[in-house]
Amino acid sequence: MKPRSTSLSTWLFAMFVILVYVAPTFLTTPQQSLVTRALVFALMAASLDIAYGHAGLASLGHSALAGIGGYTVGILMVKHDVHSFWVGVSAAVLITAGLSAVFAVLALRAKGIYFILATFTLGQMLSSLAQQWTALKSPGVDAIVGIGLPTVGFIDSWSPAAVMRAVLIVVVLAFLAIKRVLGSPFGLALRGVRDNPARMEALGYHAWAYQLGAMTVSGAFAGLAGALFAYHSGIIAPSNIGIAASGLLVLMVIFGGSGTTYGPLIGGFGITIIQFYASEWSQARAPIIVGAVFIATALLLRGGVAGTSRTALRHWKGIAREPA
Amino acid sequence: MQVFANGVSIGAVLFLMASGLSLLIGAMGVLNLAHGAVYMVGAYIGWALAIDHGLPFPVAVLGAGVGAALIGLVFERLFHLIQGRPDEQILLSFGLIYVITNVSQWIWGPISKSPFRIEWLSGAVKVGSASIPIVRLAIAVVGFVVAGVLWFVQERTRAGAIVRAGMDDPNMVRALGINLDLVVAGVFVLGSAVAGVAGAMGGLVLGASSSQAIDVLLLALVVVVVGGVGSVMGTLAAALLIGVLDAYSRSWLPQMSSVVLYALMAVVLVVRPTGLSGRVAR
Repeated sequence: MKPRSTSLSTWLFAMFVILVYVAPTFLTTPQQSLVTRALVFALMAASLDIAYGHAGLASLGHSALAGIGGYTVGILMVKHDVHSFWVGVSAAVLITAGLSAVFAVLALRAKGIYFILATFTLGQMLSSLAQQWTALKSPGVDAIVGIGLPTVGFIDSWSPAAVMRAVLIVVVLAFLAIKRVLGSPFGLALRGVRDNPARMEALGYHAWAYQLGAMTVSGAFAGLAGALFAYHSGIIAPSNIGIAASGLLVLMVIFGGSGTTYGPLIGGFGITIIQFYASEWSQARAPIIVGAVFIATALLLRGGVAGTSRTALRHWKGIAREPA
Repeated sequence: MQVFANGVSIGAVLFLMASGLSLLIGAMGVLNLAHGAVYMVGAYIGWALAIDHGLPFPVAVLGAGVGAALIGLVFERLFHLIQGRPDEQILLSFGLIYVITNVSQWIWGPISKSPFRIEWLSGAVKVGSASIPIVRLAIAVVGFVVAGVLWFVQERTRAGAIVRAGMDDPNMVRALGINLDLVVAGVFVLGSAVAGVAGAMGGLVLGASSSQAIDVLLLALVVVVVGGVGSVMGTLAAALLIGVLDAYSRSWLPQMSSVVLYALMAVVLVVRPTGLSGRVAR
């Protein structure tokens, strides 16, 4: 059993949210854009962790699912002139959830490492579809370009600071919803299926249905994050949804701490910042830094940042226990 | 016929790539997604030796194999640290891909190398109305010879029997006093060497570029999923199928060529999740 998250982490989270909300006053415009992007990836990582950390389904095609959301709002705005945030995001979430269910039905045929390979190749199929199908491109380029900021009904003009705050609000609300879902009996059953599918089946839970549910909910939130990504970047391209992007999402989750409450947020936020400053330092050599973070996380960082600090905190309080 | 021959030669390269991957995943439960990076290094070493230094092509292929085997040895030590933890193995793979592709761009330049031109392998043979380039034949021959050797080793020798037993019941193998870790290391190094050879041979028609680390890996993974893990003949059949299908879909449906492959894979997953060989992955 996971212990109730300490009130300390809740306080830290609240302080972080307030800090980000007031941050535009002392950040430059590019920094505001970076933080916005980091927030979007924090949500994307949190959406992956629903399937990965809580249902034990390591998906290597998650960025493709997020991409469905991004492509949905992009195509609606660029090709069909739908500028409303509410319409675009609703469509993105519904379509992504639906296609995630199809994705899950296919991938769940495979078990173990095969499941990872299946999600990997299915994600790549979506990416090459986006590469090759003209319906998924703006004229002359291999991407959907010219996606503007959406209309929400009560904000007339967007400043970078307003975008950052709006994204913060959406991400925090979505995160609280995820937290709620994972704390519900459904979330508990997911962890049961992850840890001991045979016993859950014996107790009358249909393990496959819960895994399908996990991937669908995970996909729905991924669609939301993908939509935010497309609105903020103004472009969505096959490289945004390919295998490298999916690998980064897995890194974010494990770096932050999979299966923990705030870990994926920390990972998504932190890795995006590290990536940005690595390419600031040297555009050509940045992959080596990112690669080193991957390798170090794989070999050294058991439990991620959240897991490690939780253990450290318990040691400090003198109630050290063997991690589950 | 022309298209078919192209397909068979690509199939042979894919087989060389996928055979190591399939053994690692099937026999050892090691998810080494950086196997494509080993192929890529093989291609670059092949280019450096055969084109840049003008050494005879067989020497270049051998050099690519040896270089790849050394990388395989390093990989094996790293993956050994995170045995049985596929999630960490994914991360390690990605980290290695990032580092190795970047370092090879550093060494060999960011511009991709065009297909290697080897004098004595240029030209073509006439078969009916089609003319088949000799390089394609050479690649196919090397692929089939390696397939034969690997099949013989796996099915007819003691070492192969240990590998097969390790796939089915690793604990029993250990209990019989066999050092399975050493066997895993051997398979890792051998599989990497074969991938390096694949890189140098594939360079004859595909050249060398850093994007191959992912591109070739993807095709090889489709082969592994379709063929099933741990069987040389299953992998060969799947590799030829994928190679030929890829060649035909490229000439008939250029818009959708790679989608066709992934669609085939999705069908195999639904109908027969363990692939053609039917062995269950560990």
